[in-house]
Amino acid sequence: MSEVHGRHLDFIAAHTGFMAEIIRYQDWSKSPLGPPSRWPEALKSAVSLMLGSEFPMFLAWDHDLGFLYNDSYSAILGAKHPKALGRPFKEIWQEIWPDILPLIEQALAGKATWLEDLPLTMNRHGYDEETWFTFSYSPLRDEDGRVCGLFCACTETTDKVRAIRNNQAERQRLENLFAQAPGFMAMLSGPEHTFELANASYRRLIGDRDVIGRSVREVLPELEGQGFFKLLDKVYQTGEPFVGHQQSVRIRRHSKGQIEQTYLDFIYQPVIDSAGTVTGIFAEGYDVTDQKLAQEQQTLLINELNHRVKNTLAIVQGLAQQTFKLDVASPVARKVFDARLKALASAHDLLTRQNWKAAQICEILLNGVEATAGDAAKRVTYDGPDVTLPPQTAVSFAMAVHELSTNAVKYGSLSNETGGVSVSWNINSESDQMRLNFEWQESGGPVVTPPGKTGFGTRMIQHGLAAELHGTINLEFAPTGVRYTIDAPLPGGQP
Amino acid sequence: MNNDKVVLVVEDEPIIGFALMDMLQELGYGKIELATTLAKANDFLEQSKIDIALLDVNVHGERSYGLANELRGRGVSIIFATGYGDAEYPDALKLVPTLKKPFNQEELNAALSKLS
Repeated sequence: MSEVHGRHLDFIAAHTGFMAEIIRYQDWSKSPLGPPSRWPEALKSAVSLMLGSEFPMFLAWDHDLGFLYNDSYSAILGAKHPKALGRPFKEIWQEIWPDILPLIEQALAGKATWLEDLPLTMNRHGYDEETWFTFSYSPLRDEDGRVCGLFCACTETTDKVRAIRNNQAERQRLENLFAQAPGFMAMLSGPEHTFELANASYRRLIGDRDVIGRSVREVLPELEGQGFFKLLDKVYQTGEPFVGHQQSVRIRRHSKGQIEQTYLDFIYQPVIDSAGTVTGIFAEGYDVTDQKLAQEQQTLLINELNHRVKNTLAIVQGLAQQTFKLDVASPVARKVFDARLKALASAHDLLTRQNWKAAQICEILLNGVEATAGDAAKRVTYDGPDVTLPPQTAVSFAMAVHELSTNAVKYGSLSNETGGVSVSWNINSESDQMRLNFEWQESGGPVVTPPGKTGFGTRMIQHGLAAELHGTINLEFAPTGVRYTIDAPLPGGQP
Repeated sequence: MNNDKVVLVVEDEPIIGFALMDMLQELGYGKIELATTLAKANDFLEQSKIDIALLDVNVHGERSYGLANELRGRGVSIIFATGYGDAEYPDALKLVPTLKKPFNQEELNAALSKLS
């Protein structure tokens, strides 16, 4: 066979390569194109041109558009190669036929087409594949000028389109990151530090001012004198970044608001071009005002706690000093001291329950009397409205109640089986100043005799609470029962 | 020689105040006045001549610096008593001797002896 068309195949013989080889030896009897020896000269020239090119090319000829292609195009065919050679165009590319038919028809009508990055879903490896092609169909004419087929130079641009798409996606992702970043970010360019970009957090920080295209000095005039403009100038001039921790910044955070004290963690990062020149500054950071205030609050609390602890230790020391006197036997003094310490601790408990803000008179009384008198506490009655005492007054009051009930249990109306105490208080608002009237009235106890000397208890009841309350205090050792009264301005001013 | 000196103790905790009064008494001071509020202390200041004042720094949540300045203006020797670890006094009061709570009679005596 090859011998037969050998003489007529000089147009192929000039070419090397796989496609030239199979075109030469293919059995063309079953192809719509017929044997190459009988191909018209126009087709032979086109085939020769195609085989001589390194650019992917094919041509389709005659009614069935029999398909011929070069080595470079065979890669585009995938598994369709080499069976595609000589087959009708439609049979080879049936999966994209609807997409390309109008273009083919246009070329066959004599008008060339040009398409860039046309998406086509091909099946060339046994599965559907998204591809993109840039190509041109041009009409192929016979010797008489009639269009007998089409010629195509094409290149697959799938990788390029994918790369562009990935770039776009990546850029979008970065833009989203920038826009939605919890920290504030701004891009400043040039020696005047002109805003190029500012994300949402940054705009929130400065009360949504217009920034793009304006300089920092224009946008943020309140920063003048706070050192930031000089810092930016320095970063721009030296190319050295600046990192600020809990930097104090006084800034207008709301468009019509006051200038506010804020604290920021931030970095000024110089942006340097490929020639090593600083072209701008990237500013980014976090608003740490809440954190800073929380820290300050914590330091304040710790100091306050320290003060309270030291003060309480001093109170304990004062109690000890006044309890352990030379004229009191030490086992007795220890018992008294323990009880006083307990009363103090119990007053602190009451205050802690109210966040160290206040304590109720009624609670202090119940607590103090019960701890001291035990069962005899049942013989104490209470009558009065809700009144809260501020912390220090509450502690003094609790200590006074402790001393009163201790005295009642030891010598007064709770020392026998039948006596009792009637405790009552009320708020008198007749004058322009609200006053607290308090009464502790013992009855039914043994005949009272005034104590010989003044101990800590009496001192606490008479002077301690009086001083604390700025009121008049009266302690009467009447034979029928101890009577203790307070008339003082209402501590803290409100019930 | 301390017997004729008037000492003002400003302390909002009566129990601590009493203990301070006892300590001062044992150290031989004859006239001791306890004020548990700054207002009381001011009242006393207007009525009597004071030689020495022992001031709690935090009196019912308020600093006693104003009172301290007033006292110093009148030539009263003052000593601060505080529970704060490192109290930051205003510049004018930086050199005022300070007793850290809780303190004992010896420390109190030492501080008093250093006063001119």
